[in-house]
Amino acid sequence: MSVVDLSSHPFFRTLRADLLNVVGRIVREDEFADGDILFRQGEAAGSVLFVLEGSVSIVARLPGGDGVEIAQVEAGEVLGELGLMADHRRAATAVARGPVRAAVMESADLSALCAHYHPASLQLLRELAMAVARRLRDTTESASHLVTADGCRAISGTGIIAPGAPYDFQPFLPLLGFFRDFGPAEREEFVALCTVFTAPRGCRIRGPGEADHHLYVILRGAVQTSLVTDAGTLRTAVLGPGRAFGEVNWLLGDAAAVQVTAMSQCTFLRLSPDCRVTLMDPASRLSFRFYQGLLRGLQVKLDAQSREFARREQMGMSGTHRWQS
Amino acid sequence: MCRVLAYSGPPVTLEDLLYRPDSSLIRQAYAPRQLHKLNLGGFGMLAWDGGSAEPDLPWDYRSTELPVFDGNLRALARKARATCLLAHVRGIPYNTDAGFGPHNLHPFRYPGCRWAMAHNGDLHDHDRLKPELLRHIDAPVLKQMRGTTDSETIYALVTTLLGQRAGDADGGELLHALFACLRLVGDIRRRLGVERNSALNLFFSDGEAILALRYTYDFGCYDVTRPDSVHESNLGYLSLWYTTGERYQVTENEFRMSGRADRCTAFLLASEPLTRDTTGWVEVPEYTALSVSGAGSDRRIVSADIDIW
Repeated sequence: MSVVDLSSHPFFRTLRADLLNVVGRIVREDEFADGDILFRQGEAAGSVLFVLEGSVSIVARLPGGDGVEIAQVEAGEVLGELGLMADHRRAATAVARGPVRAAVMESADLSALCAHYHPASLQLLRELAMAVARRLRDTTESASHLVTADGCRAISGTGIIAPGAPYDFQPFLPLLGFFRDFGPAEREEFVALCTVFTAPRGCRIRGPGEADHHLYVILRGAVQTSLVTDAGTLRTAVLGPGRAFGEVNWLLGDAAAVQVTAMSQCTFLRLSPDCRVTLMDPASRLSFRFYQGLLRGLQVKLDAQSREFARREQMGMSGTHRWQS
Repeated sequence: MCRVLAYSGPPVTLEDLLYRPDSSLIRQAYAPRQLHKLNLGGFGMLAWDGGSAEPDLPWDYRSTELPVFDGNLRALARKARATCLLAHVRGIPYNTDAGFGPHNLHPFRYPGCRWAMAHNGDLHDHDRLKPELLRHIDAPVLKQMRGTTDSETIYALVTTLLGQRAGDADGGELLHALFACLRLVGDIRRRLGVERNSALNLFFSDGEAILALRYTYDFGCYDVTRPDSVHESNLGYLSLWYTTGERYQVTENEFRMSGRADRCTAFLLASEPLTRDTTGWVEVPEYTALSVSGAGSDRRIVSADIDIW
């Protein structure tokens, strides 16, 4: 079996040589000529590509419209990282600009590695989560021009976060998306690493610019995340039970870019950044489950946020506009 | 929980909207892709044809038959065309108390009212809220109520809030009444201590314009005393999608909008996309009101954040 040399690609630079060798065996190398389609908008995904050489143009067909180039992906970058999501369809078409060489990792092959708790898969999950987190951060930062005075108002409230939960949340954990792949022992282990808090309606859980590197998993209730600038407030997401927030800051160590406010009484688990080391233990099944849940949530969030920002951009096009209230 | 479809644009056969897409509304009755419950409580639609006699008068079709077995509907759909459609498949609990029957089929449109409405969602504890809500509905409107559902209560409230303008109100006035309705229901919920996830995805049409809300009271607040009553798929925010373009038709073997991106003569809004390929569809964000009005090149899509908690 041939082994694809991935050592030149920055995505794999943290992998040890033996793990890189394993990954090199589960990917295949594809070559494309100028104008070739790497993947087409709307087709079932199921893979992620690592561009080894060349340049790829990303063309999106807006509803009711022709294709528009929205980005260029160069050698050393990751292409179609949402392609590992279940039932995901490509949101855009990737076209080779000149000769392109890419390593293609199929979702099924990554899942097989994960199913065997192979250390390489834990490293890959973490790197993928970080790649999606960086993309999410960049997408959020690039949306500041979409903030307008006629956007949503900040939710007001005066309450503070208090430790503890007002109900026995343990029986509900298996129902929450974040814990979908967790077994009972892993859930228990994860909860032991966390602190439980409850925030009243309107409570600001974190503000923009705060150096809060905790990760939060919502158990009950919902939060609004919003981009706050001098121009106004832009709601970036509404997150309910089983969804996480603060992943970008927990993973990358950045300051919070968005404000998070409780929309109703909200109970959540809070995970300290000190647990980053504990949760990168290849001997612990929890580490795999955790990163699978984290990656899935990040992908859903990036997918939704990209669609929403594209929608708001389109609202500025001729024929559509935002409500002038 | 129901599934709803609203269309406004160039004439298109009802079959192309209701049956032929690979995840059509009729298919969503028994195989929805973004809902874990079936929608077996019946079908209803109002369909306007701008080129027909009395274009302001819609086709009005309702049946408690499962639409996939309804030969009359299929035959009608092959022949009839619509320039505007509001269609609904009803999802109800699987028990004898669910209010199954023709009197509870959507869309609602009281005589003399400009706007018809269909609802996708569920106002939790409606039985407890209803006596309080009915007190806010004017007697003439109350007299027109035929059904027993939370959906019709909402429609009757909005009609009352429109008052004398119910027959002529434009989209802005309707939105104003809708926001007043959301506040009123929210106040009563708080007063009665109802704090449970309740989705109100509402679709309105007057035969040309479409206005919709994607809204949920107390999103994420489930019953903490009964884990068996909670299902993972019910913990998400109820979906609402739209697509727009010059014309809705088969392009490259798939139903999708075609034409120029800067034109939006055709507009299609649905609880979930009508095709498995969702890339031509846009999800309406949570807590958003969306409106499409005007005709031809004057058509405008407008959206607004909703800040009512």
